[in-house]
Amino acid sequence: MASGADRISDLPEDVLHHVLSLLPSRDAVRTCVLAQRWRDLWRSVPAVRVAGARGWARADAFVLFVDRLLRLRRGRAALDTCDLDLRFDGPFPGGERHGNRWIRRALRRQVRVLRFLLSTVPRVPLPLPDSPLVSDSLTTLELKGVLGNNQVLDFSSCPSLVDLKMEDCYVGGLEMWSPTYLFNRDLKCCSTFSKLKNLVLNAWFVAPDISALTWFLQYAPLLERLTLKVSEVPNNLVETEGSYSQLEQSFAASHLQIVEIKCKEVHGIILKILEVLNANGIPLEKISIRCSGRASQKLLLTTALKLPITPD
Amino acid sequence: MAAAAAEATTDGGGKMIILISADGKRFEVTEAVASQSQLISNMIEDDCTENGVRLPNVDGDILTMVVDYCNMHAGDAAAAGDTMKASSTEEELKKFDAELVQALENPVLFKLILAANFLNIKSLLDMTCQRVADMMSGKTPEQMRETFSIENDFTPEEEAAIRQENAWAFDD
Repeated sequence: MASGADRISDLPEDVLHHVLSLLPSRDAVRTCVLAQRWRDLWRSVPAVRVAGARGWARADAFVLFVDRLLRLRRGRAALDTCDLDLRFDGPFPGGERHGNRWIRRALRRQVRVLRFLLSTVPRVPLPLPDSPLVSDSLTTLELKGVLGNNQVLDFSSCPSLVDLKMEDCYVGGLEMWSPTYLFNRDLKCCSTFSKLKNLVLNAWFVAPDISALTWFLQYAPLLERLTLKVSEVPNNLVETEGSYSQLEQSFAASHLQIVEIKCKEVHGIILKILEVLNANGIPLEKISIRCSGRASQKLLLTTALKLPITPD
Repeated sequence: MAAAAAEATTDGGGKMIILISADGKRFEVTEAVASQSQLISNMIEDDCTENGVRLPNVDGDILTMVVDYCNMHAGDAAAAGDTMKASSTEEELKKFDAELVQALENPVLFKLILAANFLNIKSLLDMTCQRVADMMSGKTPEQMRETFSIENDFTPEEEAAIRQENAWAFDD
């Protein structure tokens, strides 16, 4: 294998950046001790990739690493992808302060693809600041394990956003959710997600009148694919009668081709979602449901709505 | 692309152009195949491929690989334009790509990277850089040096100082 000559160090800088951008950031930073040529390459690598605290003796060492990694980058170096997959076996040390700062830093560096995925034990979501995300360059955003009020849903300052995925997010958390006020305010102050084509909402805590969902649909006119993963629905929501049938505006989902709903059990909320979608011009043929629950429930749903249900 | 399609005469192949390697080897390929190189695609657009395209920094053996790769992948680009069915299945392509990069000795791999970079063939550059990244991933700096014969030109004191400065990245 060893050929004698050091040819990798002869590659042009942008090629070496490309190679380093494919590595986990820890490996990329550690190339700084290889040789003079490599000393500062990591500071301008166009991608930050951090996956889990595994391999780190302590969670705070891992947090320090991510913080320095983002802070010590070269100021002008473009950042294309920032992939922070933060998995802790315990809590996220200094989470609120660090997490939000990391998101801000990535956005300030004109990041195009931002993934901020947080999981802690026990599950404690990271509260996002009460202000909308602002970025001209952001095209892909994936959030997991965060909590925010309605501002989190305001992407009107992200005009390039095409792909949005939210998993395990508490948006307009139960205690702070006041659907009527919120809904009206959103309608007044927000413009559209003019480019959004693909939306995945996972473990979505839907308010009784599922206004968050209809809100998305109204303001994403080009949406082509919608995936809803309803894995947990708090009991109080299921039992609440919503005002879903009194929606004043129907949404303009003329581009919507595929709606996929994944659930464990068929809750009342699923039926409501279906009714709202259907009442707003999305034919049932475009909706598919994957249900891992009991067969009797599938039967109930099939007969109630004459829906095709995909077996698991 | 539109211009090329208009000039296409026979079975979807289009016009032929000649690529000439540093050591004078000549390769005749269709414009569709050559256009996977952004560099050549631009030259075709500017009508300057008449007398062949000289590639003074790509050797014949490397250009052979590049042409093989582009022939194999020509279907991708064509299928996107719906002009022709993909010439190879996705599975065949994956197998071809995997065998291509796995088999390469380091010096050849780096030459191929330089060629892909110069010719601006994004998919080939991605694939070859990924191969290098796979060889680095999870290795200590010492193991990386060994894998790629990287000469350590730091004095022991310098290296210690850099480790100290970036201790946050080595703390595990």
